[in-house]
Amino acid sequence: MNVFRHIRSASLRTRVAIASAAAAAAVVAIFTILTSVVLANNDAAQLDRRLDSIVDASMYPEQLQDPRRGVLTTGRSESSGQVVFQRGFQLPKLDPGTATVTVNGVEYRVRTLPVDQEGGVLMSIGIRADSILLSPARIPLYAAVGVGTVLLAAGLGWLLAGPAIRPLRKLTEHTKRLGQGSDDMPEVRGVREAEDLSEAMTAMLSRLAAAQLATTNSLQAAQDFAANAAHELRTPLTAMRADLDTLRIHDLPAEELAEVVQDLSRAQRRVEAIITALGQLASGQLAQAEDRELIDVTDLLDRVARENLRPGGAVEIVVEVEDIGTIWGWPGGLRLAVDNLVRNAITHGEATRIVLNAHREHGTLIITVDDNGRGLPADEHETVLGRFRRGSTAAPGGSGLGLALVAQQAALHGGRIELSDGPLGGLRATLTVSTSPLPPVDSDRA
Amino acid sequence: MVLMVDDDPDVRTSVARGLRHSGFDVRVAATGKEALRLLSNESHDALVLDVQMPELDGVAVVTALRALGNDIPICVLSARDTVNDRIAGLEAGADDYLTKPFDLGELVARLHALLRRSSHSDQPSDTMTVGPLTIDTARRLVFVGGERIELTKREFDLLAVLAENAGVVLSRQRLLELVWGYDFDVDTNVADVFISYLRRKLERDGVPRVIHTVRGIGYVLRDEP
Repeated sequence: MNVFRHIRSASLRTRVAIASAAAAAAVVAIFTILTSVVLANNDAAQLDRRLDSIVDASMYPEQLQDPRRGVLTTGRSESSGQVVFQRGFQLPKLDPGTATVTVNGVEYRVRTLPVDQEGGVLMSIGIRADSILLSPARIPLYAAVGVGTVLLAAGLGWLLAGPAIRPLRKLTEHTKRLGQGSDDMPEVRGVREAEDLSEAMTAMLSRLAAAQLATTNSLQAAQDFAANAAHELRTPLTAMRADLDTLRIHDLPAEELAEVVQDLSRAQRRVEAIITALGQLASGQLAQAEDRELIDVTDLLDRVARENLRPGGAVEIVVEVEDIGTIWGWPGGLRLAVDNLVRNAITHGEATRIVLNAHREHGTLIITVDDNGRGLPADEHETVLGRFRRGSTAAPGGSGLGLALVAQQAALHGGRIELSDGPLGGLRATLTVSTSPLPPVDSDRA
Repeated sequence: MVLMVDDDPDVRTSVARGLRHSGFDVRVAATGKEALRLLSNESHDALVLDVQMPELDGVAVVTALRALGNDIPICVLSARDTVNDRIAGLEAGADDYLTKPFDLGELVARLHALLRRSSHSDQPSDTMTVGPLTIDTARRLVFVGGERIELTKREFDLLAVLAENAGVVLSRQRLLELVWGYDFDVDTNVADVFISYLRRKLERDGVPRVIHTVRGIGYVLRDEP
């Protein structure tokens, strides 16, 4: 069967042409046979007439024959023009030669010749000349044959065009059945246009199915995300509600009151952090390729380092890059990613020294964030990148979205984020981004 | 002594502090494993348990405790936010649930009632029969058409109360009072949730309904519809 698939099918135009040629050929053949029969019959009739004439003339020259079939003979004196003799109807006076004349409404072909007899006689001999085929009486018959031929041609065309366009009809039936139980498009073979159309429709259907699946998946993902986000917000709100109820019901001593209020404001900040992170996640999802800008990476690292310095110099943040140049990307997003890594090192790693570095490698730019903090168990290096996932050593109050945001930005910039044990004793975060000036394919964006 | 189990430190601290100020002796645990360890070392009077926890979650803790024959009153903190009677933990044998975030006073009142309730058992020891249903209160066994049905403690208590009052319509408030000891105004549909669990278990093999809803009033156990 595979061999046939590679041979191109005839086009619909060819099929229709073949069908009409076949119909025309059939009509012409029938008509030719019919005409031949008629002509043969006519020849026989003409011969019969001639035989009749000869028989009349030679066997019964003296008898008056049926003037309709007989031979008319009229002799006239050459000098006076008087009729010398006559058989059958009288022929008019004619000059020597051949002429067609009408006698009693019947056409005769008459030949006149001089005969040397009784002082010169002009002899006119006529036989019937009216055609058997071309008689007005046959017009209805011919008209009927003509109409019949046209009808025959139309009928044959109808019959033969059926198979010619059958693949198209099949295609129509398949299309009608779509959505009524069956969702696949059986292949249609035989007509190139129908095959092309069928293939195009199959491709369209599979694209539609893929789009539908993608929509379903993203709806499911959005639902899960909404449920997770609700749960994440509900947790600090539960703590806040309990604290508020405690404050409302009980009269607490000043010291405990301060503690409750402090917990309350921490929970409140946590709600705020979650909402901020949710907004950032959403804007990461909506990042447009045309919003990309040239980013000076050294500048960006310097800025993140400066902004995360704590009063009193509790944390030392070092940027060990001279000038690494620029890359294309979303400046806000990339800074958010590096910023989250530095903040994590301070907040969750309790690091006092953080080293930012960057180098280029095989069309990528690699930013590393090393800290001397308490690190993260190796089996959590992967899991903490998920949304609403926190490390077991994480400080309370996080949104659970910080590293998920880093991962999102890394994917957006055509790269990835990896956590590992760092050389300073704490954690190393390796953020890889593409240096290609073209926007990365955003298949990893989720 | 009440054990408060939640993986979130903020929730753990705040709820435990609130309970402490309300007069409870509170212990805390951050994981299901830790909770089971504490419960096996020392006897506690009630358990406040978060359902959603990593690794050993609330449902697993309830299942483990009930399998060990521990019938400590358990109030689960549910993440329920859909209109669905299936509340993780209750089917495994917890006694009540609260949806986060909840009113601390509500939790305190319910804990007091559950603690009171668990200190005495006042059911008469005899066998009751209603239609295809046989309830042996002494051995705490239920049979439907001669076949034994596994019920959690709270489901059994609810069915026993309905059976003792067979033919009498009991309001939700009355059921909460008789089965849970909630003799105060309480905003919960826990009775309806447990009724739906009971019906699912009792009507499993096409057995006709014995627990009927009296619209606007409550529930009644009787043989005929």
